[in-house]
Amino acid sequence: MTDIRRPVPRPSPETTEFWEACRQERFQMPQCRDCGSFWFPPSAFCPQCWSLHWDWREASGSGQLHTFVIFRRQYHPAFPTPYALGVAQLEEGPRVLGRILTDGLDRLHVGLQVKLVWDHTGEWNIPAFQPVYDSGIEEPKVMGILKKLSG
Amino acid sequence: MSNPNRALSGKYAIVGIGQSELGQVPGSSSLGLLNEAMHRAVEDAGLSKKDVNGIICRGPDDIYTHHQRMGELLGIDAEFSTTLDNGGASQILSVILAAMAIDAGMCDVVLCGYGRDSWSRTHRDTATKMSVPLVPREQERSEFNAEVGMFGAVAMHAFGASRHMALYGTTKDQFGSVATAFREHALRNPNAQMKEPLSLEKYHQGRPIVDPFNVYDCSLVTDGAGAVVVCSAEMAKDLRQVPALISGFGTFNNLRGWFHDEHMTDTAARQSGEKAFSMAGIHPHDIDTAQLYDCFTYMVITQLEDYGFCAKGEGGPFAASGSLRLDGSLPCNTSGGQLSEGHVEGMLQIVEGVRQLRHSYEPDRQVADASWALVSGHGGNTVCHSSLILQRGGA
Ligand SMILES: [Zn+2]
Repeated sequence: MTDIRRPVPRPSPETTEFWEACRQERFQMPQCRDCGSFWFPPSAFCPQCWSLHWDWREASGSGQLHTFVIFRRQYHPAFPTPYALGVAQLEEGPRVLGRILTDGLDRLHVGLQVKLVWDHTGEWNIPAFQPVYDSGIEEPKVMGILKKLSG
Repeated sequence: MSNPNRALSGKYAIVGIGQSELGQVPGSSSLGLLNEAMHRAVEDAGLSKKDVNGIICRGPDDIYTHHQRMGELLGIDAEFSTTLDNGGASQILSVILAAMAIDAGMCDVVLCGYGRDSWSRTHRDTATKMSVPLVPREQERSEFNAEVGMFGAVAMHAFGASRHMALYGTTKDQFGSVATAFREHALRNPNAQMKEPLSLEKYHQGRPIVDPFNVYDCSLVTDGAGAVVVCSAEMAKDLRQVPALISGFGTFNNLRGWFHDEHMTDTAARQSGEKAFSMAGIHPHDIDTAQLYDCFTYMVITQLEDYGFCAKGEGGPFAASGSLRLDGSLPCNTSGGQLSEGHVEGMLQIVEGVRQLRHSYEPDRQVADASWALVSGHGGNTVCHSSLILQRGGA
């Protein structure tokens, strides 16, 4: 009776190309030709300067956790708990919501370095994040965001 | 930044208040509950149906043309009426809009209200409990949401709480001090949904929902409605209740989103409050009681900072020092708030602010000599904020 299929994105005309690129494991977002800013989610006009002139750019995939939460109560049968969701601040500027794929939920913290990875659900590739220490790279000692705010 | 017109300060007033049965009201409907609250508010003001020519209201998100449905139930053709769409910020906005509409000569007496049947609609039976969302699926974001495992308002606010803890060292104990203070107030309120005492120890044992929130950090699922009547302060002189003068108001909406800038830890309560204080010509230390939008414990902490009751980052220690209790420096959510009295999207906070200014209570619930109340509203997609400063009217 309960639907255990994972919810899928329902793209808008402005995000169809984004999701197509995800199928090839490319995370791309708009960059304005006039003011240089990046934004996400994709939309027709630059929210900064309202320019219509922009290009798709592939993200470096490197970022930091702006914040995160851990789901304990199960809201959907396709998402067994516990699992973590984060808002990652990408190097290019935009902040992106995604799952944090890790076994180390208790090691997560604001400012943690993360990299973009792919959550393969079959038909879709959903952008997700992974702590950099999970890929064998040592975590930097100073957390950029916290340093900037306290300094 | 613009500021609301000071000439309007004190020119309009809340002259009637009403609320429906509250809590778990089996078989209730949001429209029926609001009808009940609106009737009581008009009666409380000593007015009758024929005096009311404005309606501004709101209910659950799936009710289309809400004000038309209410006008039909009340049997009123309105000179001015509309339904608002700013989530929990709508209820104060309805009072603001009422004052603006009367000032513009659109109408004279406005009935404002909000009703919901959140408990009943999610508890019809077990299957319903599991499957009926409070926000209709069509209104959820169609992407960048459920496909990553994002569900609901708890997680959105928990993101803010998590960051606030990291930036300022805010603790679970401090969130708990908000929940326990409001529970204490609720125990003195016979209409409150929560009847059991809540100690800090019990708070920490609460069922985890979305870290850092457990069940006691979250507001209640409630059936209930509240309503107020707004008219000119001039007209209020001839009415039976001590008027609550609308001294200041402000709104600010961080529409770019909760994830932008520092919106989740430096909320729109700041700009919204600055406008309201500027209009009223007073300062945070003049406020005798605050009725804050407590959808989650964390939102109280950040609003205390954003309104200027304490410095940014000091909201946790401020709450934990006992300031929010009835005998504290800033008695807050004195009816129990949405965490313990019942969640009616901020409408009951306006009603309670007015009761405190009327000096309606015995000393065990009354903020002594209350002359100024601040009421807040927060919602939409976590980014809309409205503020209301009320003053006790002439004796
Ligand atoms: Zn631009």
